[in-house]
Amino acid sequence: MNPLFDKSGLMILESLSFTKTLYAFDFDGTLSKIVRAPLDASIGQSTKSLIKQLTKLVPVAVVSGRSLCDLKSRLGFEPRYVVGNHGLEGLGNNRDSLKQAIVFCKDWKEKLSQADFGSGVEVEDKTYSLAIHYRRSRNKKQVKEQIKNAIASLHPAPQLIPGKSVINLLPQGTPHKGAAILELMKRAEARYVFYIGDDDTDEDVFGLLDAKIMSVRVGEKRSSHARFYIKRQSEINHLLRLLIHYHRPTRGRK
Amino acid sequence: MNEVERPLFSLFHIGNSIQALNKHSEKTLGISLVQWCLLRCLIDMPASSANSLAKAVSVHPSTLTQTLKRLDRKNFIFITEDPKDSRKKLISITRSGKDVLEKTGVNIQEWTKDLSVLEGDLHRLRSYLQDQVNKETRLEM
Repeated sequence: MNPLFDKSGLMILESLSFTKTLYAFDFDGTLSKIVRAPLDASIGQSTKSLIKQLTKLVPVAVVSGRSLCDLKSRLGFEPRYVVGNHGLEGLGNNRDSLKQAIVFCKDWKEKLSQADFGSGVEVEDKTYSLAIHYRRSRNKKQVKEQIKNAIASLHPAPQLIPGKSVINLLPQGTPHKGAAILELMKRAEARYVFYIGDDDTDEDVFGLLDAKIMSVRVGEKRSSHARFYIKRQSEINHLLRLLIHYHRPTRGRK
Repeated sequence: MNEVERPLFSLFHIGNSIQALNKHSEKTLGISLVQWCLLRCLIDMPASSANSLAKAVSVHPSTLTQTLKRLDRKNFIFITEDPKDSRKKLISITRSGKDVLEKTGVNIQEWTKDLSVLEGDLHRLRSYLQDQVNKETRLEM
């Protein structure tokens, strides 16, 4: 993993502006800061203003684990593509999977409501998936084990996507962020994709074997499959400014 | 020279003419036709490996090495280590590379515009030659 803002990272970033590139962003921890309560997450004013400018220059996508409705209400700008529920919502090509997901999630939620995880644990119903947040729990390690045990008794067994103090439950075999990115690339008729995210769920994109993706992680992590990293979420504005600079029509954009 | 040998000499002359045009291009525009084709591919393939680039232009990766070195010396491309695998290199076009491609595009197109009527024949010739190479390779095995 190399820093994005070193010489070679910046040169590759600039070279993306010579072709039709789709710029895709995760939401929590990338466009918005990580906050204690997921309901408080929002995009800062300066980031919002910059990404609005970028959206006018290039195709932009936001791909998140949040439900589509929740995600759209927090954006404050209109990217060309918005995908929620880790790739399940927003692409409109998997109605049967969605119907089935509603039934499974209702059933899982009912069973999980019988478990006692103590205070600080919240089960978020995202209609097509569930997210069990334990960021506000005092003993995170112990609570994580309790949650895992409760999940083990669920039927049919959900697909688990761990995140930062959260465990996401999705029906098995549903599309993930990586599949969503490849689909978006096709729809945007893009020749290349830039993707930035901060979480384990983003590894589905980072791990894609397709070489036509520049993958960037927020925060350095050795085990990540991303090629580049930015040190922290607050550097997102610097990144957006660079992208706007590279794509300004005065620079002889292709 | 008999009838069977004549096409072979034509091929030889075509090879020489391409080399001459390549040299002329490098002398007058600062970039050879081969280099131009590679840069054109790199525009749509940022941070690509030598293997993918070789595949895109249908040549063996080892054939690319010298051309890539020349382009690197001219600052038209930059070569960096792949952060995922330090044994591999990533190749990208630079802004100077993009600028030279745009500046020379008109000349290159002027030279090659009449070739479009021959495209079918050129394609058949290429397939024919490739078939011969494949046949010979199979015999050697």
